[in-house]
Amino acid sequence: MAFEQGTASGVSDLFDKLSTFLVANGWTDRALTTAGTKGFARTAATDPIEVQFRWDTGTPANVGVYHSLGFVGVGTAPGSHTDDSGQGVISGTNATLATGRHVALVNSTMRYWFFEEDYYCHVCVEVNVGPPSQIVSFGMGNLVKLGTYTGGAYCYGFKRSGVASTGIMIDGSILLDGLASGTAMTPFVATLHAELLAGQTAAEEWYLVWADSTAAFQGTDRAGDDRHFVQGGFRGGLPARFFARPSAQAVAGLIPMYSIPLYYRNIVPSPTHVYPLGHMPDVFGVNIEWFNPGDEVDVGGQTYVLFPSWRNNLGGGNETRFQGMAYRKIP
Amino acid sequence: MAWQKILTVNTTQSFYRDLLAQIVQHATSKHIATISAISAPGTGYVVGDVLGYTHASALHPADFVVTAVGGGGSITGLRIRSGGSFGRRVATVAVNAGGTGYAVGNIVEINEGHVAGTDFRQRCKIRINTLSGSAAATISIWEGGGNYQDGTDPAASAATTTKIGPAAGTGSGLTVNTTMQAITGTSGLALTGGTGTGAQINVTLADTGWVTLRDDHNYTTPHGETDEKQVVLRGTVLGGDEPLIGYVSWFEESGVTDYWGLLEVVMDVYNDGLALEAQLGANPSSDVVSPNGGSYIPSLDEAEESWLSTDGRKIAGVHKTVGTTVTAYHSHYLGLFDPFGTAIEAPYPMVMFGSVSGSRTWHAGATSPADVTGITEAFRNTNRTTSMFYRRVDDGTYLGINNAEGTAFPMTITNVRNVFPIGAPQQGSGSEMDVISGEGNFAWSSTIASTTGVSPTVLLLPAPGSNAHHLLPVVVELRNSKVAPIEFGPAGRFFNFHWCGGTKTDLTTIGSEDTFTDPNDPSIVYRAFPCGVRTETYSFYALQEGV
Repeated sequence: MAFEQGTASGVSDLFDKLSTFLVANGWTDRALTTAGTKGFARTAATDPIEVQFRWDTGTPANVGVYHSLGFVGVGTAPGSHTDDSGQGVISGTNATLATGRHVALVNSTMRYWFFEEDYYCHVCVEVNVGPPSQIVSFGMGNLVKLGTYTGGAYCYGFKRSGVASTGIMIDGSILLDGLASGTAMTPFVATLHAELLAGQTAAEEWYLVWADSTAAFQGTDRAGDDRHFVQGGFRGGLPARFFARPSAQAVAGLIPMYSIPLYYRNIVPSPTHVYPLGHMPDVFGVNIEWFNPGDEVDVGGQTYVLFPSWRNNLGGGNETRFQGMAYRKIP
Repeated sequence: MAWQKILTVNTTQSFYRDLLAQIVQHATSKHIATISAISAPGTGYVVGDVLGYTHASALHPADFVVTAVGGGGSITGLRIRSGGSFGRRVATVAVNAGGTGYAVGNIVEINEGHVAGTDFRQRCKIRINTLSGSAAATISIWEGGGNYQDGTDPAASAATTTKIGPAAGTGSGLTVNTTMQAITGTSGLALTGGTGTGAQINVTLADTGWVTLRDDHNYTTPHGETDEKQVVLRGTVLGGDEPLIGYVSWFEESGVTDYWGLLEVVMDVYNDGLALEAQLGANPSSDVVSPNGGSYIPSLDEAEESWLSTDGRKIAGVHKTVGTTVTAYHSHYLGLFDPFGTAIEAPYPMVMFGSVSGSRTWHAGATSPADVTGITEAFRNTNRTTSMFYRRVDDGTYLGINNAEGTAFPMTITNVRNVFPIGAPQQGSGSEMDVISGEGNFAWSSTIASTTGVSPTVLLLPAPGSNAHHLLPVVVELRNSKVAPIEFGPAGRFFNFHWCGGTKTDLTTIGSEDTFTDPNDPSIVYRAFPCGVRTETYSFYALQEGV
């Protein structure tokens, strides 16, 4: 149960600070020995969390984001641990890391915000002070689950679209993002661990968060087993559709925050079957028309920290405009 | 908050008028709010047993469901389902002085029983049954004996009366002698029914929350029907404006087709000397029973079931009609809803909804059910007005709300005021304000909530390992075109109404009136209903029983 806001001098320093922060709050630093890597675990979580990160020690910027179910040993590189999801390229080269799930940082001074609670850790990083400020995010945790299925652990990196109307384009993925779509996006999207849902074999343990519905599976995990997919999320689906647009109202000045739910979509039967799986803990979508990155608001005695999903700027393309995120701050 | 199932009868008046009488009786009574103790657990009970409790002061009985039993079938868990309608009431009336100028069937109410600074809940009404000349000879209590729990009793001897309603005749001078029925006790209430015997409970009672300001009979409709009813009720709100709502009973014969039901009315201020339509802030279409306009709870002239969910902010529920061609579930809501803001930021968040928008829009033999909608669906036909209205905060204007319009189904997303989750505001038009989010491949309005029985593209099932249907709040979002750029924002949600998926874990379809339990709290039970008369196989709404 913690929050930390500070400044890192570069990629390595950011992850050192994240390690200190997480260990102080009950997480385990796997102490990976491969240069330019970090691994964190929260085995006490309802669905144990095992994630790794990797960057190019020579030109650190893109950080690969990996999600596994087990841990092999300190000398095993990210992506090669037990039951790896298949997301994140196994490489130590900056350009290659960018071809898989990653978060694009800068190896210079960055403001950061760490949000932690049992059991998740969500991270926002300001990679360009702007103006307008540019924010990237990554994280891992357990869904607030519905039902009794095995699983619930998630992990996400960050990818923004490079074209106009970034916020609603399908070639980006932010948080658990059910708007991302197209096979080109497969390597970048978030992962969810779940087992033995309808239509799933015992060997199939992973779900990708995205919007497509044209195929039953999306690639394979590192062991070659099919991956299913889940939908909804931050930018796609019902709450976002209804509640993302409202900004401050003229009379009350209030803005809704909306939850980020995930739904398993099994397209094998016809019509397809959808099952609610739960929602992200303590992070919400919100219209940030009237906010700057890192602004704090109090709602009923609870503080939330607000960020744009990428960059709040109306001019031209490549902006996420008023699309924003609100994180619950637990000091 | 009180949940009550009622059954309309026609022992004294037509069924649809009895529906209104029973709504008022329940809203103005006390109900069993909590079970403070199972004072005697009894023996021989099983989980699921439905037990009842009634009393001479009850206009509706309470009932309970056994949720847990111990050894020998002793009750260890019990939940309230229907809270009952209890009150201190007039038990008997007799003529003291018959007065003059009366006609058989006149309805009068007893004047006494009101103490300045407090309120009666509902005055006792009396029907004149026989005459001696033009004087009342024999009389009987009409609609239940009133409720005097918060004031003094009517006089035991020579209590004065007043005729009620504009067409009540010219009678005057009737005085009556009365006796009273005390309200039920709260300890050692003996329960009946189920498989066991001997169970007793201690309870607390609470006001359901409404007071009658007008409770009139003898209205004549614009269509010449007599003996119709008008009711105005005031609710109870802590720290805010008390809601003022009304109902008008109506019957209309149009050719070979008969129409019955209740018209809903809301207002800002009530003046007893004014007609409903002349009240300050009265909603549109409150003036007449209109073939096209307003919010209505349609009925038939036969015994019908209703489920009421009432508290001091609203009277809402579901009314079931079994017609010759279709069975329909008419959702309705009248009063304040849960606003998006405080009482200062969002004062008097009045909302009204009935399943049809005109007095002639539906009857049991309807071959085209498109005029009947539900609270989550909020559809309107192109040749009708909507049947859902919200009072805009900044100017008191009543805004129509609907998710879709037109004769084409399934519903399409529009840029008007919507009801979540089926409706959604316009987005993605390319303006700076629009570009916030997309639907992805997952839209309630076009993939899940198919409203015509056509095959949906998505079946929403309960969460894995659960039989609990996925519930979502029913939220109204407003589009404020008075400012530039146009604003969108949630206005609030309907209390105790939830959008509900329609498919069970075993892929069978949920049935109308089916119940299911909250997986995290077995004491919470929901009951599901379809919207209107649609073959809405995949999209229901659910209300929590007991609240």
